[in-house]
Amino acid sequence: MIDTATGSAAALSPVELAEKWFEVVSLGGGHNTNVVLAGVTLLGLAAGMVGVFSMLKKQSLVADAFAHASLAGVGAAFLLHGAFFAGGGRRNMAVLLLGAALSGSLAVAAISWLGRRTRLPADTATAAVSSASFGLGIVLLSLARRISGADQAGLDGLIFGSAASMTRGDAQLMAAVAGIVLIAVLGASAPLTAAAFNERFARVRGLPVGFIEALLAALVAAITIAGLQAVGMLLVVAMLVIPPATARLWTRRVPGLLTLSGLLGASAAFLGASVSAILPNAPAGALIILVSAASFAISLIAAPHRGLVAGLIRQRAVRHRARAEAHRPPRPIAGTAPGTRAGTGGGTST
Amino acid sequence: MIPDALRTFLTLDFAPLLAVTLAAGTLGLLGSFLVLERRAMIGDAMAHSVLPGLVAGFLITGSRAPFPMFVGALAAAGLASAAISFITRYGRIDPSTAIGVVFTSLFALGILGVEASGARNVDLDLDCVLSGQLELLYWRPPSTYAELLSPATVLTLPREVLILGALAVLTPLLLALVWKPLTAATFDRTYATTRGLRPTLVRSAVFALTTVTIVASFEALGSILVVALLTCPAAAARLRGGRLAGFVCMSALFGAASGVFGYLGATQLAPTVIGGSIDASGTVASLSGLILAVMALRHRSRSAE
Repeated sequence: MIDTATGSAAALSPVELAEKWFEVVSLGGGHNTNVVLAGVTLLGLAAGMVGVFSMLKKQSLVADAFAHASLAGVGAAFLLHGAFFAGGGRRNMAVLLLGAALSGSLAVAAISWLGRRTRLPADTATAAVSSASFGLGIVLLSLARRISGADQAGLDGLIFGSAASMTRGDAQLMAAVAGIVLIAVLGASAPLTAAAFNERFARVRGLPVGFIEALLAALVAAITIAGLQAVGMLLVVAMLVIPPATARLWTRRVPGLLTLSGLLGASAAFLGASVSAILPNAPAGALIILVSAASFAISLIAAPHRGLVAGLIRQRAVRHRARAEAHRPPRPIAGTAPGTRAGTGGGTST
Repeated sequence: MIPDALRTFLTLDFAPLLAVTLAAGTLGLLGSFLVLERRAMIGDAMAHSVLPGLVAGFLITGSRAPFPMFVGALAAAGLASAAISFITRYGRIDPSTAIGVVFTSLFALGILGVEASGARNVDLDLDCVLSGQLELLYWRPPSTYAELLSPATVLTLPREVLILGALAVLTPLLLALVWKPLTAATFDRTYATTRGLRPTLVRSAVFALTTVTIVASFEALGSILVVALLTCPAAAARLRGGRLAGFVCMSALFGAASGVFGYLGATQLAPTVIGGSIDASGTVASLSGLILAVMALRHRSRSAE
């Protein structure tokens, strides 16, 4: 990793930057950089695949609530840890992430409880729980700072992400979690698909739908927790949302969606993290999301069926046909009625 | 003469308290219509998208002049909501996915802008983006009661407080003015259209006012509190049932109450309990969530009877 100040980086010419980037991409950026790069790429792959199922179940934003709420758990774990091991200035990442997982799960449970007990719309419950629990997290952090005078530097990294400050152990943990999630998704893709498309059908087929849904929630949670350090809790949801949405513009079949979304996630993660490694002051999380967003924007314009260009071409073709029909001399009524109806019908549906 | 204790309170806490209460009441009021129309997440997305607009305003002018930043933030929030409806409509993508795509992308752009431009060192600190800069609102109060109570004193309050005050007066007035078409548009759009009540125009006007309020509140309150105040009070009021007018007023009331008690709790109560103040924005957000939790618990017991 490069620790130069802003000034010297600005002095680098594009050619030098490109050379440096090639060095990082060809795995010559040092062992630590390589471990982080590999871990983030694996995370992108796994997140892209898990995200497909969240999108199919229209639960994309549940992961966002989970991530926001995880701050409360981080704060609580920080307070408790500080109380039990007073004076120990070292942050214990495992304890913090455990707290994050607990409070995130609580928030998801609270959202589904609100949905069942009251008639609140799902998106209202999600936004309310995620913002209130994030507020609680901020209070707990300020409390921790008040009481123990603790150094909060490591915690800011969890909010906005700082791949650069990850230790080798952190990166290995992230890669391990991503790898396990990847294996689970590949192994369970058939039942996950069945439960995502037609819950009742899956139940009739004798699939344990409750278990499958819990599995999906656990996979989403694992990805979110694994991505906290590298991408940050405010942006990690994007790794689960943008690649599947992009893939959806190109294909509608699940195997294609999984492959494409996984590849898009992995390549965005690889590109973002490698560029971040050569530029100081360019956080990896934000870059990964922006690469993803660019691929989404390009797909929105250029995708074959759902893309804007394809839509415009289709629209023009329809208009052209309609005009041709309009200029045709009138025929006997019995013949025209079905013909024109089919023509206009096609026009409105596209 | 004003006693010293009161003077200290007026200097340090009065302006932030006023700002958070005014913003909380207005956001609660406007949030009720967002929740009714099932667009709560759009409010969430807009509040996150303000950041790149602020950064762009800062980068273009090179200073923290309030007006360009306000315009930039407004443009970014408008862009976010336009992009969401565009993607939903033309990309045929589920709205919640479209929201997730748009607000994370814009927020990432904002974070990159803050980190890479060096704005972080000036005062666009990322932590302030989350929990606001309430503590920066201080006020130099007049020295006598007579001056304090004179109407002209109001104008010496900080700019943010004045803007939020204007919005707090304007919003209920506008809502009362368009009440009938607005309710018709919210519940029965076809009826509103046939009666010539211009539902699209009315809804767009209220939505625009919501956007302006979100942007105006953002700097003082931070993104988290804005989202919490848009959704939690309205959700809590929704659980009470009853008529629409009651629901809307209750939402504003819950918002304002979270603002007053949350702020006072964080800055006045906390120091006596734990020996130091805690984050005020976070406390207000937590309190609004607590109100929702209490209402949900009561709702449950009532429906079980």
